[in-house]
Amino acid sequence: MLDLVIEASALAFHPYVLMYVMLGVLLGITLGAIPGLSGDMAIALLLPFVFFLEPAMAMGLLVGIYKGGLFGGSIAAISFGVPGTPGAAATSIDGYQAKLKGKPSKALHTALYSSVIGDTTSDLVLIFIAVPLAAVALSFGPIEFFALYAFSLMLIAALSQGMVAKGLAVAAIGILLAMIGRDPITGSARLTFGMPGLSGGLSLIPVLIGIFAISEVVVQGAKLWRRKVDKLMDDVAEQASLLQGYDIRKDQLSWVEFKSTLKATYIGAAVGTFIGALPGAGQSLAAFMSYGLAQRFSRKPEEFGKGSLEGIASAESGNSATAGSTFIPLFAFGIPGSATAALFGAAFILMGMTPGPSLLNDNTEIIYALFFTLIFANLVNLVLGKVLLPYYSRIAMIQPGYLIPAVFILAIVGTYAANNSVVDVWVLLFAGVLGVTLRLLKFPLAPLVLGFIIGPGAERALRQSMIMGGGDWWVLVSSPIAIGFYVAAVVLILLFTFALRAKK
Amino acid sequence: MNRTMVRELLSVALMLSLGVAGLLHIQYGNWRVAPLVPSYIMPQTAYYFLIASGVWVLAMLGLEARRRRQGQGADEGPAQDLLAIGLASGLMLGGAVVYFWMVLNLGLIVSTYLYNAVLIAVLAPGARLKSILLVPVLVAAAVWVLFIQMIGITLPPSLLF
Repeated sequence: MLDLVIEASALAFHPYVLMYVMLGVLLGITLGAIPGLSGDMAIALLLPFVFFLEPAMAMGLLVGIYKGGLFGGSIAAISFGVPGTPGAAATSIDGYQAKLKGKPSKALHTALYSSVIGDTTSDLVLIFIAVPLAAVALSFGPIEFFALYAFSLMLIAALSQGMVAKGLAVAAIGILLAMIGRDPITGSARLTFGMPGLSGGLSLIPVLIGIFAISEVVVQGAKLWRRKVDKLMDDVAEQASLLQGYDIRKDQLSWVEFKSTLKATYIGAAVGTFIGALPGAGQSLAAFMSYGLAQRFSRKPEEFGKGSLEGIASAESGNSATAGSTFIPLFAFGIPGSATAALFGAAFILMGMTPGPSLLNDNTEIIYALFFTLIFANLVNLVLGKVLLPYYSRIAMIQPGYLIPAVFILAIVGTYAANNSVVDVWVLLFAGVLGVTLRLLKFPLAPLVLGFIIGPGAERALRQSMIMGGGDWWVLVSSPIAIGFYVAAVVLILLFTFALRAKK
Repeated sequence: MNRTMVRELLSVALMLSLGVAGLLHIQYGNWRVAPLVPSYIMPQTAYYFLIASGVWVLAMLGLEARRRRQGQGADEGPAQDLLAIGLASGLMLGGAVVYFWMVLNLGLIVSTYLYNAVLIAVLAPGARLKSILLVPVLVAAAVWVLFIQMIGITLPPSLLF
């Protein structure tokens, strides 16, 4: 064990890996601070480059972007009342009010510290829970695995934006996209519609970049075209005038104030870690639930919504505490519980590692190095965030009209570069059109990605189960563990449906 | 009929048409027969889910319409500007097809410069001519360094560079 820790730490603390972590955090905070651009989009765009990096370096870069992006979202939320990422929506409630009251520095520092505490708690839970859970998963057969896949799909479909039917439909579309290509058992071509280019199936990179990045960029482009940005810039100028006569010396977060936010931070860390481990629940739900609970247990609940530092701490800690635990289902069972985990799962696959219980056994050294990187990235996030905080709120004012074309071009050339494949570029544009259509019709996108990634595994488990049961569908409920998963899915869906209604 | 209702009806139409078309394709298409577990078992399950979800949304729409008639309806959210998204999709995704054709035939640097300049001219409000001409130079240079020098992607021989 000691040897393993030494080898993993040598890998994780290699100067190049550290450099990539710092670069990632810097990129993540910068992109997260710009409304409309998110860490997920940056991770999707960087997937083609994973091919060209050592696994530890690639993981360092992606982890850095993810963690930086989580905190970066709160900068725009506090500075302009515009959440940089969906997870920062709850932070903007009190964060923006605090800024309007002349406390932007206190608000930003509270967000930074609570984000790092929540994130670190979640990482520690991941480190200590993923390994034993993966050992349990090794005893699963196809019936249990199919139940687990169905459990994850049901949960992610039900909890993504609270639209169960649309979530299930879009997960089905994701599974259908994954079925394109050769049937793994009979070898015959399926759903290729006579196009030889599709017989190998759709590659992960163009589908993920198309669904996440291209569709987002097109929607942002449409907003720009309508000159909404002019209004945003006017608002920014108006808000800047509010800060005339602002004295930063009077706006320093004191130790007493920091201590007063700790209870809210711990509530957020606990709630976020739990919610993050559930497939589909997501950062936004974790932040709002943490905010609600912290308000209930606060000594000054009446200050929530009026610039309360406790409100900022709970929301930001809850949001960031999903960061580590969202990887628990991916590491233990091979099931990405969120869009970010799906992107990391794709990165693992691109590096030749299969997410799931065997991931830890087959790649012990690199996964333990990843654990070290997760913790180290929090430290980098804290230091870089602290040093660069005064400059970051200006980043949100960069005109997206100059950034979006560059992002779009990078997506196209990056997709081509991954496999030198022209077909991949057409798949990317098709996925972009699909993503825009689904966004317009208000379908959640995360279930589609989950369906696409776990589709082949779910099909394999289903067909193996059916063979075992002689073609009888009842075989799927013949295992107590499988029944447990189906019951748990129904209970959790009902529980969260009621919780979401109460929130509204 | 309000915009939300139209959007949801379009969603239902998408789900039902995809589900029904898929089942018809399974019924009449050329699928290889396999004992116990035919190769269409997973797609078929997905199509059933699509149809069931479509019916579910339709039922919810019926309930919502009834509630609205009784005066309990919720206020409508902000409307999506379909025209803006349609135009942006046309310009960016249609333009991307032209851009990639140009990359393969004219060259990566020239195509990147031209496409980036066009997008900035259309998307950046109040962009000055100097920015439209200079920013694409930086982007084209970054693309060249990243993809040609560092990664070394292979592109077919082109007319320019």
